[in-house]
Amino acid sequence: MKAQRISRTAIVGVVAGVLAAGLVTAPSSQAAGTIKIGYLNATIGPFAGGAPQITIGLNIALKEIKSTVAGKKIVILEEATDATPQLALEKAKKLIEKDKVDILFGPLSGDEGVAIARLSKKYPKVTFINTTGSASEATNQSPSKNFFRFHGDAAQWSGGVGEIAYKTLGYKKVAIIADDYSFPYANAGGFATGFCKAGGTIVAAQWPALGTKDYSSQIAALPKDVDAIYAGLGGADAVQFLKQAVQFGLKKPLIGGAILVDGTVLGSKADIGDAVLNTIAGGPVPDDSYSTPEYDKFKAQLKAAGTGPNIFSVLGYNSAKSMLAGLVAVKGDLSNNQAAYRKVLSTLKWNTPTGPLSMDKNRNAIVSNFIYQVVSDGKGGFATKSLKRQDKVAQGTKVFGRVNTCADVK
Amino acid sequence: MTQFIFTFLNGLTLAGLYFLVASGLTLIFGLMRVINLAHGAFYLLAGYVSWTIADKTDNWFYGAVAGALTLGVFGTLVYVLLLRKFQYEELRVALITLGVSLVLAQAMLAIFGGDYYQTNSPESVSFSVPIPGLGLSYPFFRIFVLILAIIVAVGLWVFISKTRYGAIIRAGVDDTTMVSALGINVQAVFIWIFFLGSVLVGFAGSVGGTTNSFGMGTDGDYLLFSLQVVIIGGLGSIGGVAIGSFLVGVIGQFATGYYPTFAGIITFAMLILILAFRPQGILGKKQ
Amino acid sequence: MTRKRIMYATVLILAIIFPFITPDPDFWVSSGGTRALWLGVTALSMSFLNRNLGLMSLGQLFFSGVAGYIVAISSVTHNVKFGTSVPLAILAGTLSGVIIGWIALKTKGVYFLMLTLAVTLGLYSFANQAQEITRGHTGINSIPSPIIFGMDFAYVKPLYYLFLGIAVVLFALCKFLEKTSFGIALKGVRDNEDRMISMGYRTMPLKMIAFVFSSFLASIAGVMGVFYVTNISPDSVGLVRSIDLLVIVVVGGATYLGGAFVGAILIAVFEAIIQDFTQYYVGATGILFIVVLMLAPQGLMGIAAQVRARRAKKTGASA
Repeated sequence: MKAQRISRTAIVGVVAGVLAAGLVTAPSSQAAGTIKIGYLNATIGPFAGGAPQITIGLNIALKEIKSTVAGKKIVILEEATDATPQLALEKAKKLIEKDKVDILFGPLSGDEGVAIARLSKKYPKVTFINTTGSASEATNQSPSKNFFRFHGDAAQWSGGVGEIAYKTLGYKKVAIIADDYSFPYANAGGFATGFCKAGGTIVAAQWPALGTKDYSSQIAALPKDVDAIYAGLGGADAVQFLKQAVQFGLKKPLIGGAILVDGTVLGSKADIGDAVLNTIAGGPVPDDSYSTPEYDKFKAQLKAAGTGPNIFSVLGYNSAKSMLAGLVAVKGDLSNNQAAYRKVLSTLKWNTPTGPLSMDKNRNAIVSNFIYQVVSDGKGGFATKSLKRQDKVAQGTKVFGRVNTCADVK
Repeated sequence: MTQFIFTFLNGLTLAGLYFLVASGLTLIFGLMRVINLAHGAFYLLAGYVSWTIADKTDNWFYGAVAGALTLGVFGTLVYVLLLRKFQYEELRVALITLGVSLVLAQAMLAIFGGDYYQTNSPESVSFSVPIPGLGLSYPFFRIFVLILAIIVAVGLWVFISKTRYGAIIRAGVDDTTMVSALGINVQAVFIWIFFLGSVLVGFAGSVGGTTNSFGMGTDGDYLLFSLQVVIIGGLGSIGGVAIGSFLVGVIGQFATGYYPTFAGIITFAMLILILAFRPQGILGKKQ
Repeated sequence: MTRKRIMYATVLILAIIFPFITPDPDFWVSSGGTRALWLGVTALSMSFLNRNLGLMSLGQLFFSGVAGYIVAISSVTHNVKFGTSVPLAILAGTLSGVIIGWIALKTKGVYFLMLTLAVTLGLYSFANQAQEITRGHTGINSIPSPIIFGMDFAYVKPLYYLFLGIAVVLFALCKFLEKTSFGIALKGVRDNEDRMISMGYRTMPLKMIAFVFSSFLASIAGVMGVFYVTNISPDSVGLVRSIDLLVIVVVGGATYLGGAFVGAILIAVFEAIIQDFTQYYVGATGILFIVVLMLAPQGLMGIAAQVRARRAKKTGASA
């Protein structure tokens, strides 16, 4: 019994010592002359290919102000995620609680974006700037006062496509095939909203499970009496779908989601020619033939960095530039819980390389959207032709689920 | 009707692929009692290797051979370096292979990134067969995969039950000391089995990487498919793998085609139902 | 016995004062302490099964997932109060253990491991595909924090102490169960089931009770996870998480109840440190796992016991 008491005293002594040591090392080490920006980027996982493009966009924006605002140095602390909400939340907590960042820049994917937007309510002292995550509900459902998105959601990325499909191309009946998750829901929802309003009808829809990577059963199930097929697929899935569309003899014009016919898909070695020609698509990135002074300058900057315009580099730059423009406007003053900074951000207006940007009341951007068509380049390959720049595309109030008929978007 | 026929064809050809994938797993387990939970990661690695070689040489067959042989060598190394010492501790070996899958998945992610890949099929089998009366056609490469699976199935069966080597293998598994006493090097036999099983999954990865795209996460998918196939069919039986592949492939495709929301659950319910009546699987031996 | 008691007391005191002595308390209490307690309770459900039935289960995340999803869906989508949804979720998770146990307990060893892994992966694919119910890959976000007697557990320290309390109670419950006649009979089944049968025991109900108890523990852990992460998505029950958990159990020592917590703390700290060096730190964890399995299959707790046994032998010999 005695021995026990002694050892307990010893423990208390040790504990007290550790306690004292902890208190000495505890104070936060925030230097006065810096602004700390935590940067979440999904460099591991399904978007590992696109993630570095956001960094290129961010770096171009930083270079333009020499990484300094009113004498304060901007410090970027990057954390890698794997595009899952779970890891994004953990890394965000680390950046905020351990590294004590002032601003959180990110995340990349829509699923992460929703989780981070909800988390932002827990940290009212930090300003959150989304990079490329495009889920609607991050801003149009219970919006958070300190969460900003300087680009459109996935529904806005379809702005103008439905109208052109009906009015210009004369498609009356369309069937949808799209991956079964939130991004294609919103993307297809945006398309269907415009298309149905113009007078068209959605006659059928197929929602293959994410990761199916085999669309043949769905291709077989598509009805024959339609004018066109809306395909909301991207990346390798898009290549797979287009390849199978050729193999299985699907002979219908296509309407692409925002990522169906981007550069990687058109450049793939697979045999997709018959399926992809004349496809129309819309998205936040203009096609090659688009040219304005702002866009040409930006293209040159991207070229110097070894890349070109794509969803990640464009949205990454626009978001970063908006974040920094706000800091410049308030001369780096983040006092009073960043009130002045947030006020500037919520009324920000500027001419981005991809058209004029302004903000709505939910702190989501009102932007331009681009519609283009795939044509032959005359040498056996493909080129794109601009059809229209739809300006002032604003976010709707809906969070789209599966769109099976026009009634789902009313 | 069109959808029904297509779904059935898809299920059947997919079953062929599942057979190729799971046969290596069941071969190794059936003969050595070693369960390789890095099997999905092996499949994915083979996909990357064969894609790389096929891309460099512009020849699908070189890619497939490279995928199969690389995995054969890699699998043998894993066995010799990490597993052999504990071969008779089933659970420990299974856990080590799970660790291998974790490391392998991260290594592949670091090297190949998160993008999806797909190998182009060889010109000679890249055509579509028109299906009369439906106005649609079916890609021949998928039928080719089914034919390959049947060839491998027959080959394995003949090898194990009809040849002298097969007899040695079966005997070596049943009674190691006895066979050693006959002057046969049992350790060498085991190495060859592991090599053969890994070659099979390597070949499956090369073929599967041509019919379907692959990338991060594919390892988990195919580990799940293989487990479903061998659990349903019965671990250690080639015939069981054939039955399991057929059920998982065809029922899985019908579920995906008609009830996409519950596709995972339907396959899973089938598994539970079969196990409720036959815990050892349809053709499995009683434990 | 007294030595053991002192050890428990020391650990408990350290756990209680930990929030006051750590640097960066906001971060380490939450991402270190609270996280380790949550993972530890999940691992405890696995260790309990392994220790008392000799079965290594990868299905614990299935029960966690069922309970977690029920809490998340009912509170976010249907506005059900936690007072109703939490007991309901734990009950549902526990009862799902009856169904899974009925199938899985017919098997042993690697079959059991494979079957339980397939069960977890089955839930993963369901969660991914059943968009209307689980919101697919996005998962369910902004799960509110519990408020008990007016105390808001959204704050870092209250949640930590809540989890600490749960962990201590559940750990003690496991210890207590092992000492009852039920626990002793269970060990008999583990060591030699045939002998127990010939002694007139009906072993299946015994195994079933143990299995369902472990799914009860896992269900509680599932609810804890929802409160800690504030999100649940298919990745919460995926292959990577399952292996993570296995790593914790094996590295800590799969035949010790305390090993669950030792492993959880070690992995939490190990990953927090190594991720500053490489973004592929999961691979490093995998290497650690293989090394432990090859060199010290009884885990860290086992090493301590081995060393102690060796020392005891030495002193015994010299005396």
